[in-house]
Amino acid sequence: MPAATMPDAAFEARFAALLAAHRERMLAFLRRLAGPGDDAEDLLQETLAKVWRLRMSFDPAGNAAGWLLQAAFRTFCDQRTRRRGGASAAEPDALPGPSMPCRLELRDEVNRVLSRLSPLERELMLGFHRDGLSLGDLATKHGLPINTVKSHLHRARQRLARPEEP
Amino acid sequence: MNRETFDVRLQVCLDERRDPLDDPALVAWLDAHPDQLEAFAEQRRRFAVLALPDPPPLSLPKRRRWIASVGIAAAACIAALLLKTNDRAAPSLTSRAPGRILAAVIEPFVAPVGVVAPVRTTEVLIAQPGVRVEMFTQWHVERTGEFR
Repeated sequence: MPAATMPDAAFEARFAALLAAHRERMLAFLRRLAGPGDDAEDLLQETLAKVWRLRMSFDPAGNAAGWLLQAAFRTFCDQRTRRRGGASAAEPDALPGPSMPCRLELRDEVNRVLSRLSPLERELMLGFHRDGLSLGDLATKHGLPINTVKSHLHRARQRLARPEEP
Repeated sequence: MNRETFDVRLQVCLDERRDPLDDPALVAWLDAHPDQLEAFAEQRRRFAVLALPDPPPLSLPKRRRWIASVGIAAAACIAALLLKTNDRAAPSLTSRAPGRILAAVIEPFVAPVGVVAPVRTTEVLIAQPGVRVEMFTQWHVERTGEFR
C-alpha cells in the first residue's frame, strides 16, 4: 500500500532520509552504467527529483533499494534514448569508457579474472572483445567449430561477470 | 523470460556485438528484476574495460616521467578545485550537480566551557527547478575543556 494520500512532514522527512541513505549506492550504480563523471551525477539528480515527485506511490513495506535502483535504471535508459534520438545514426552507442584511475583499478581486477581462465578462454575473450576478431576468425585460428568457440566465450563471460572470489 | 533465457539472450547479444540495452526484452527483464541491476551494471563496466587496448609497457625513465606528470596534474587539479570552490560559494538552484559539496565553512566553536551548543549540518539532496530537498542533521555539543 502506498504510504498515504497526502504527504505529511513526517513522511517527507522519512522519505528524504531514505534517499540520503541510498544516494551513494544509486550513484555507484549509475557510474557503472554511464561511466564516471558528470553524467552519473546528473542522472542521480534527475532520478532523485523523479522519485520525490512519485513519493506518494512509494510503498514503505516494499524493497526500497530495488525501487530506487529501478528508477535510476529507467532514468538512464530514458537519457540513452534521448541521446540516441539526437545523435547521428552512423554514430554507434559505445559502452561506457571508464576514466583513467578507474580504468587502471578495474583493469587489474579484470586481469585477475582473466588469469583464472584457461589459456584458450583467455585468448578467445581478448581476441573477440579487445581485438575485434569475429567468431569465424577465432574458430579458424584455433581450429575449433564456431559453436565450441561460443561455448568457451559464454563460460568465460560468466566468470568475468561474477564477483571476484577471495 | 526467466534468468536462464535472459542469460542466453544476453550472450547472443554479446556474440553479435550488440549492446544488451538495445534489446527491449533484456531491458524489460532487468526493469522487472531490480535485484539484478547492480550485477548487470558491474558486468557492463567490466566488459567496457576488457574491450580497451592494453596500455603499452612503460620503461623506467618513462614511468618516472609518468609519475611526475600525474603529480603535476594532481597539484593542478587541487589548485583548480580551490579556485572553483571560491567561485561557487553561493550554490544556485541551477547548479549542474548540486549534490556535490560546493562550499564549506569551518568556524571555531566559541561557546564557553560547560555550555551545550547546537550544531547543524545541511545537505542538499535535490536541487532542480521546482524541487529542492535538503536534509538537516542537528546535534548538541558540550565544550568540556580549553583547546590547546
